[in-house]
Amino acid sequence: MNIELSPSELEFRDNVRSFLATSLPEELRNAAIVNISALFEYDISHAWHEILYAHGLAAPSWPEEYGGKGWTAIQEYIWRIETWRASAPVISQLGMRLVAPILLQFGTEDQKREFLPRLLSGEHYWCQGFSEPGAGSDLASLKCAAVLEEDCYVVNGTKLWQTHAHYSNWMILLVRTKDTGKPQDGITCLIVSMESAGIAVQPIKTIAGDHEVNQVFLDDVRVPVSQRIGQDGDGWMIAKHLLAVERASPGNATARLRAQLTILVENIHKNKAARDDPFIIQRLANHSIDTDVVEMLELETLQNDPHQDDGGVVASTIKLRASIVEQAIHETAVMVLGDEALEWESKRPLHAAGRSLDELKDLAVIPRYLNSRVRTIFGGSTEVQLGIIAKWLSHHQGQARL
Amino acid sequence: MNLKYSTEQQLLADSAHRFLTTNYDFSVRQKIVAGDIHASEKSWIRFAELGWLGLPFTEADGGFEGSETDLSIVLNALGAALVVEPYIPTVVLGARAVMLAGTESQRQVLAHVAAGDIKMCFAHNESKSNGDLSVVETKATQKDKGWEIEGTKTIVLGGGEADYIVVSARVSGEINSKNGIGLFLVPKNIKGLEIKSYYLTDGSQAATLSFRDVSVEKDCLLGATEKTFDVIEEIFDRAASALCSYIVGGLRKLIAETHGYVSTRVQFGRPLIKFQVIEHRLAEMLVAYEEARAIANFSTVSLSSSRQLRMRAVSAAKVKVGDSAKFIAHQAVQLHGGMGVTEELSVATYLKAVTVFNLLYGTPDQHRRRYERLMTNGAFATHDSLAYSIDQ
Repeated sequence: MNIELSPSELEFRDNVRSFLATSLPEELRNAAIVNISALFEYDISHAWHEILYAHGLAAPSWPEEYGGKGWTAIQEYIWRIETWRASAPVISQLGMRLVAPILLQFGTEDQKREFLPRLLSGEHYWCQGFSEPGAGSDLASLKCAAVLEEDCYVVNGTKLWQTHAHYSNWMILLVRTKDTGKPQDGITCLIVSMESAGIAVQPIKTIAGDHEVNQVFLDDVRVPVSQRIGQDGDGWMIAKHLLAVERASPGNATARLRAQLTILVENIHKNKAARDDPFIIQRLANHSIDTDVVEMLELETLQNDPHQDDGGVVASTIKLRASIVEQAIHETAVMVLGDEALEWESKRPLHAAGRSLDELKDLAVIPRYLNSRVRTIFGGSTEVQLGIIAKWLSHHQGQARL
Repeated sequence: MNLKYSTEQQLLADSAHRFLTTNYDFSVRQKIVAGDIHASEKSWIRFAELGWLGLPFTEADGGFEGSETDLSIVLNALGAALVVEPYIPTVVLGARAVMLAGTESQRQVLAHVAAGDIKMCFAHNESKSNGDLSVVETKATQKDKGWEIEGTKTIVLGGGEADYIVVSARVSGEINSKNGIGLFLVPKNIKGLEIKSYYLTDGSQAATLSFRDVSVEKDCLLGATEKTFDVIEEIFDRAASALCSYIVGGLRKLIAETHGYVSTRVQFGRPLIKFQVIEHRLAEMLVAYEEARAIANFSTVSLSSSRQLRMRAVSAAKVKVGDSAKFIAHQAVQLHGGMGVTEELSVATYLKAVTVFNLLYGTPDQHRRRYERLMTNGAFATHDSLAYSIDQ
């Protein structure tokens, strides 16, 4: 085993770094540094998306025939580490991380030709419609119903927690097309225009005052059969694949954690009391060691065959740990700032609150801490991950990986 | 970057685990700990035949030129069986000192180690050390024909079984000066050396070595240069990393044993594993194991890197493996209920091994502080990937 990048990979890293140094506008960088929500604010991510698209870098890990550069997993990993390090926003997060892998894996050629270029250009911005008021961790119990009428599905129901649905023009949707048999077998995956008649988006304000998520109502929404992904009843299989790729895109966990950790280090450097506080320094060391661990687990996955099914146990382990480590980092950030963290700026997005960058950095600390609580809930809660891991262990008669 | 075992390494792992499962199960270990010297010697000879004792040595020294990864694979298997023979003191510590600092003629000892004829140990720790590697009170005074060594070394792993001892002694300077430390290669039966041998908590063997006017020849000196402290530091890190690989093997076994127990133990009318609280506890143990396994690999791959990366990786590993090991061992005992604290089952012995692990070659707290120092001194940047380490 060895951990070092090859000389050509290091050269690639240096090229990415100099591209970012020249192409990422300072105002976007400063706005991204004080981003407090799970996704980057649409205004900054979209502006950066257009710049990347102009450079042919909107989706570099896609195959070349769809406008990507066919990067290796290691190149994609380096790209993620470097973009987070440069405080660049993540672009079209749900489209790139959920929709693209699904279309590439399960989409028809027509669907790929129709939707991939528009996702790439930023013309389409995507949200997901999975959870419902009665179906959270127990996703298979979803009820939103689709009935086939000639060449259209007619969809009725309610979806919950649609991140950025209010900015999106497309949604990837899980619906129930069959009520009998195993609940998992009656789920189908559709893609639907948010401009369709019968869709209503209702904002939900979350704990840090952000409007990031929504409830979406579907009332006799007509979706052409040509917008079904896979076959009728394939929805659960697609969703499982999707949650696995969501949890395990290369560098996703590490790059985030390293960026958050670095913000914390800067805050500690600015603050003499924190710098001299052995308790704070010990917490910082623990966060850094925990991040090293997450990175080792993630680096190991770069060599995995993506088609080899390990039941999602590695992805679950990384998701479980990364979410907890990030929450702990934000807790320490609050301790470092102390009571000065308490001033509440309610304007959103925070970067447009008309305050200085230094003020905004401090004002971001508590909202970021509060928002981070959701990390152990979304994308499969910690308890769901533990269930997946326990199932894997029993399936392997208690034998962990060597 | 490559973090997977090669086919050969996979075979090495399989054969090492298979050999120890067959020849060194818990009952054999218990017999050895109870004093069956014959069984212990027999195992040691088998380790030599399997090529484990000369694994990291060069071919010229009678070894197999195995990589750090190869060594970690054998250590992992030894830990799964909780092998008590002094593999780490001999191969990772004593022999490594000779590899790093020995002259051509001193290196001849390595072929005997590889053949299983000679065991070794590394006597550096003293009662005043308290985790500080530069503290050496034992003195070496130059005499006409050689050196005279005077002082006491404590908790010397494998000290009672070693045929050759590598001992550190101060040649010049203050008690905690990094300069002026010498390393000496000394046979066990030399006049004036008193060896007080004892068992550690887990049944492995250690000793206190008292050197009283011990006269050694000039050519026993392995080195007393400015670089000698670097050698000691490297051996310390290699020991800590080896202990991590060893105990990670044990943790995997603990999870398997615990899973087996809660799958068959019926209470309240069903197997314990059917209770979600138990199921989730096992999952948490597996997560802790995965973390320990991954970071132990980081320390393994860093051993031949720069000093600062090596120290960072080893300390990260010793902290994380230590915390994970304690959690897993405590939970394993807990989930075994009353049976977990009996000597009948191996679980209690694994907890003892974890306890020994956490107190040797730097406690988690000592390593955390070293990691903190590296971090605050700018030895690494939090925004850099571990894979960028070639820059450092």
